[in-house]
Parts: sequence; C-alpha cells; structure tokens
Amino acid sequence: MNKNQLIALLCVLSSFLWSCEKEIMEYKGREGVYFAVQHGSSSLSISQWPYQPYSNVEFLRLTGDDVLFPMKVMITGPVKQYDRTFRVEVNPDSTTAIQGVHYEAIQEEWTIPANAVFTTIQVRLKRTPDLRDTERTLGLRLVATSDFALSFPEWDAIPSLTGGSIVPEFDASLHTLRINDIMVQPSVWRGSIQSGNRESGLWGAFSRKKMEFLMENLGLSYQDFASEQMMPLARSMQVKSDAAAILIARYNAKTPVLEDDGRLMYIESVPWTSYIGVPWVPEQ
Amino acid sequence: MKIYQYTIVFLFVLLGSCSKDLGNYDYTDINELAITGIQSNYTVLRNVDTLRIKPVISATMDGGDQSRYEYLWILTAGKDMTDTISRERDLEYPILLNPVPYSLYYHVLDKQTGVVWRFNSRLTVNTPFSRGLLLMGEDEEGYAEAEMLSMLNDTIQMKHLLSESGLPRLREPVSFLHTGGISDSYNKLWVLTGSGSYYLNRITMKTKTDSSMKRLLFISDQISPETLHPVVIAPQIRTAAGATGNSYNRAILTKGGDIFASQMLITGGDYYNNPVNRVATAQEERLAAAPYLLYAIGNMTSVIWYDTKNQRFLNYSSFGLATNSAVLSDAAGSAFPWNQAGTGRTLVYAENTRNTDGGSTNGNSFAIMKDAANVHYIYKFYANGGSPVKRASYTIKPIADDFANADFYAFSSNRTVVFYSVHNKLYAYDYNPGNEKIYSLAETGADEITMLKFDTQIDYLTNSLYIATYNPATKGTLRRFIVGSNPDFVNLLPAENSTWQGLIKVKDINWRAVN
Repeated sequence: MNKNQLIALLCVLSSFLWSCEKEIMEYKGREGVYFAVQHGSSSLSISQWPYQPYSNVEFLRLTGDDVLFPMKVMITGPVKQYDRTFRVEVNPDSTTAIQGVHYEAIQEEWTIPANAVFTTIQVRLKRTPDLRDTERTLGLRLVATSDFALSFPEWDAIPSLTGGSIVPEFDASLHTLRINDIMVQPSVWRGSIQSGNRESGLWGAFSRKKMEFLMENLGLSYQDFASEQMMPLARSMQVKSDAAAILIARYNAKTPVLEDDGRLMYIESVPWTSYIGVPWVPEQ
Repeated sequence: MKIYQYTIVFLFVLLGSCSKDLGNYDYTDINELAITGIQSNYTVLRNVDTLRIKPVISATMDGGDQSRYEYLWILTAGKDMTDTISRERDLEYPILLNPVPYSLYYHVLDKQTGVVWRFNSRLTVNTPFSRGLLLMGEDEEGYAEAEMLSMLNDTIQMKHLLSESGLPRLREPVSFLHTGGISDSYNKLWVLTGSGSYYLNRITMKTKTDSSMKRLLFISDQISPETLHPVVIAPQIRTAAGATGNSYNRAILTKGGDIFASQMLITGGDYYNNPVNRVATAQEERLAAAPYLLYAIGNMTSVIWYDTKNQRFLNYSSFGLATNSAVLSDAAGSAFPWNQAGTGRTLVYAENTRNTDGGSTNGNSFAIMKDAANVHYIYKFYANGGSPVKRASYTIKPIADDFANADFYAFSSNRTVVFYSVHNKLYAYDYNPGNEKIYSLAETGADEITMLKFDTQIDYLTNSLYIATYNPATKGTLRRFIVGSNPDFVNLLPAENSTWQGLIKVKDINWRAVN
C-alpha cells in the first residue's frame, strides 16, 4: 500500500466515523414550572404513580401538631448553570384554610438551583381541633416570572402511570392540599354493626373514641391497623382481650368508658351488649 | 283435506332425515404403539433415590426407525407445578423434589403420524425423615442430640440431626416431636430442650435460632425470653398415620410454666396470645404450671394443668375464647379433690393414656401424688371438656419397692399397671385394688434405664412399652416390649425386630408419620 492509498483509506474511514456522530437536538420547549406531585398505591413504586392536582394531609397519620409539607416543582426547558426563581401564592378560589390558624404564611419566592430540574417547596400546616370534623383546603398556584412561564396549564394524565387514582386533565400550575384530622375506620377493623344497631365482632363498631382508647391504653397507633400484615388475626385477638379487660375493670370500678352517645364502649368478651344510640343507664 | 297432504309431506321429510350417511371413505392403518415397562406407582426418597425407568415400546409398523419418535417426561404437582424433566427415551432423574404427591406423564410423539402415545404414573416422594421414631437424648459430651429411626422401608438410623441443624449446641434434652394433624400449614417439627426450643424445616431438618416460640406470639404480657421456650406441646400424634386428637386446638407449656393455647382457625394459624395459666379472679397473676398438659389423647377439647403455687388442678376448656383457666369444684366424697392444698399432697408425675376405664372414650389421664409422709397415690381422671371427671384414686402400697425414688414412670393404657425404674432396676406395680402386686423385671439387664414410655401413638392396643437403656460401651439401646395380657401376671415379651442399638442416651421418643 503506497502513501496515497493510505491517505485515501484514512479519508474514507474518517468519513465513516464522522457519520457516527449523533445529532442531539437541544430542547426548544417553553421554560416553565409545574407541580410534579405524585401519589398512588403504597404497594407500588413512585415510578408507577400518576401526577396529581391535590394532596391529602391527614394529621391522623402524622405525629406532632404541625407538619412541614413538601411538594415537588419541576421545570421544563433547558437546564441552566445559574439559579432561577419562580413564585408560589395562595389561590383563594380553592382555599378554605385560614392563614395563621391552619397554615403559616407561605414563602412566595423559590429557587430552581443551577443545573437542577426540580426543587421541593414546603408549607407549614397546623393541626387544629376543627380539623377533626371539617376538612380544610389550601390551594397553591405557581406564578409566572421572568425566568419561568407556566409549563402545563392543561395537563393530560400520562397513560403509563396507572398506580393510583387518575385525574385525566388538570392545571399543573395549581395544587390543592386537603387538610384534615378526621379519623375514618382503618383498613383493618374487626367489628361490625348487626341488626338493631347492636355492636358485634371482635371490636364492635368503629368510633374515634374507641380508637383513641386503644391507642392510649394499649400503646397502639392508627398505623397499626393499616394492613393485615400489621394487624394479623392473632394480634387482633390479643387487642380484644387486653381492651376487654380494661373496659371490665373500669366498669367494675364505677368509671365505665362510654362512647359519645353515652353507651358502654364495647369489645367482644365484655359482659354487656351495646346498641348504638342507646345510652347506658347506671344501676340505681 | 290440505292439512293431511301437508302432514304426509312433512312425515316424508322427517323420514328422510333418518337416512344414514353411508359415506365413501378409505381407511389406512397407522403405526400404533404399546408402552409397557412403566409402573403405575413409584415411591422414592428425596436426596437419596434416582428414578430410573426404561419403557418398552412396541410398534406395529415403524420398521425399527427410532428417529420418528420424540419423548417427553412431564411431572405435575396439582396446579402449582408442571415441568418437563426429560426428553430422552429412558428416564434417569435424581430425586430432589419436595415430598408431595406427583403425577408423571410419559409422552411419545410419532412425528410421522402426529399421534402422541401416553402412559401415566404416580410418583410419591418421601424424605428419610417422613416416617419413623424421633429420638431425643444426650450425646457422649452431655449435649442434647436428636436422632431418628427412619421407618419407610428399612429402618435407618439418622444421626446428628440436632447438632447439624444449624442451631448452637443445646443442653437438657426434653423431646423431639412432630405436631401432626391434618393441616400442613399448622404442622411443625420441634426440638425441645431446657436451653432452647426450635422448630426445624420438616424436609431438610435444618433451622435457625429465630425459628422459635417468639415468632408465634402476639402477647402483651412481659415474659422473660429465657423461659419462653416450649417443653410440652399438645396434642400428641395418636395414630400411625399421624392424626392428632384435635387438629385446631394446640397448647404449649414453656419452661417458665406458662401455658399458651390457640384455636388455630380463630387465630389464623399457629399463633398464640397471652398465657392462660391464670384464673379470672386474679387475671394479672400467672401461676406456674407443672410440666404436664393433661388431656384426652383421643380428642383434646380441654387441658388440665397443675398449679404449683396453690397445689391444685385447673382446667382450660375454651380454646380460642378463654383467656384464663377455671377452678374446678370438688363434691364431697369424690375420688380425690382437684384442689390438693387440703391434702398436703404434691404432684410427682402425670401422663395421658388411652385407658378408657369408666367410659373415658378418649383416654384417661393419670397423676402420681405424694404426701408429707412420702406415701404415693395414683389419681385417674378424664380430662374432657369443661367438666372433667374423677375416675379413681389409689394408694401405693408399701410393697412397691423404691416407688418414691423412681426416675421414670409409665402407665399402661390396657392394664392396671404402672412401670417404674430406679437406675437399672425395672419394676411393674399392679394397682388393682385388693390385688396389688409388685414385679421386678430383669429384661433390661444391668444397663441404666434412661426412658420408659408406653406407645400411645402407633398402636396402643398392642400394649407396647418402649424402654431405653444406656451403656458407655454399646451406647444407647431402645427396645420395644409387649406387656403380657394375663391379668394375674406382668411379663414383658421382646417385640420382634424392635431393638435398636448405638443410639444416643434416649430421653424421649415420638412418632412421626408425615412430612
């Protein structure tokens, strides 16, 4: 192979290698921000959860009387090598919570750090007695700035994300916090109400008062009732036995535990029958 | 008139439909196979056997061409498993399967005709541990050790089961038992010792230290883990096939004297709540139980236990519901009082039997008591349900040499005889009132007796007495004797092929019938 042939061969090879270069397009979309809050089934990973326009803040599942609640905000558009700001404000149209009572004044200006594609904003929420009965909402909305517009005023659910309740369309520049301290019957509750409103089963009818009695006297938490794994049948039996022993002892000590309607609190193995709405009448 | 014409036409149409299709086909014989040389049932041992099958295939017209065939050996286990284990003509398959029933299918595909020829068999996989006598005792260094006399076809001695189980070395051997029963998910294979009790994998016989009682408990009582290991588990196996006296009730007595009771359908498995060795009037106090659970072997609906603090028999009769035990009432003139506090007697020994005296269909229990003057008594009662029945009380006569010093006792289910041993001396005492007799028996020779136990599990009607002895030179020996049936005489007849030597120093034996 002479020199000219070698040069020609190198040229051909170079042209081949040149053709291997990948054409990478730069992102040309709108530089904006949106709420990227996902939730769904606890048995699935976050990668399967759909994006949501709301979050439930249930103080019953939380410890303490206030909570710093986080929400993820993501950007669209190119990553920049400097900090950029976006704004958040309360949306009065979707807010029933009262500033200073149910939440502290929110921080309005937030930063997307250099080279980042998201940040987490936080709002401090407070547990108040009225939340036991009434749910409050705190609506938040993103506000366009010179750095960011609003990415998805019309968000369509991503078809592949099916691991939770799906909201087909919503405005991703808005996010609502649904705040409550309402105690609903947990996933595992081994009791029932029979005809005539008679309490039955291991634990009888569910009530907040009974749950608080169990939590206070047996060292249980609401989360202990969240699944069969947490509260298998054998554990439920021990809860029944321990709770019944306390109720009977309190009854014998003339300090019976009553439900809000005045009936004797019921757990299987107590020697009395309780009917919802029928108050206990002490023996004279 | 037209209606008749239509009817006739219609009838002709109907008759026409009866016309037989005679067809015009050509039939050609194809190659047909006859498969022989395969049994309809095979029984094999896991980790021991290789299943070898050489089918004989007779073909009507293959011209000796073996290349036209494809073979499949397919194994299925219910809906859970289907596996092609070989594509060869002959099967050679090492058995590593779990011990469950299988169906074995042999398929031969004739590629030229497309026809598959089949032969089906059943395959039963056992482990060497599936059936036999479980032995618990001591090795030469004094450690607890478990062995098994596997009795599937031949009797095989399986050694070092405890020391090679994966557990740390244990002391104070108590028992090695299979819980039996109809529900596989409730079954466990336990090694019980004074220094820890664990359940083993029933197939591999291996385990870890976390396979212990604590995994079965959902309790709110604070109980020292040092004493929280089983030393007695009830009910026992009561048939050669592995049945128990109750498939859903189970009671466990721990080293600390706590009794855990479960109705496994109610608790959702082999799980336990707070101990029931307490009474309703003092629920906060757990009363330490003597190491015996007394129940009718034929049907365990209740358990009587002995309160060592207050010297009384108490009754637990509501599995899955009651959280305490009942104090039994004593009627005047009864055979003996359940509450022994007034008698000054204490419990020495107790045992469940298949004895049916007094109409105790499911088996009487016996207790040996002694008083301050060292006089011994036998109580016989039927621990059956909420109202157990006292059957009789017998005072041991002074003719019963060394009765008070006995190391072991064993009550015959079929005769009024209790055997007992002191070191290497074996006695039989007939407690039949008015005809009390004592027998000194020499059948066991000079070796130390380490266990006496009547068979109440395999075939109690044979009146078989198992006696274990130990000699440092020949090690442990286990022998089965038949107690003679002559009511005027007690003798022991060695049972045929029922002497096993070279064993551990046997402390207890139990029957295992299933995996």
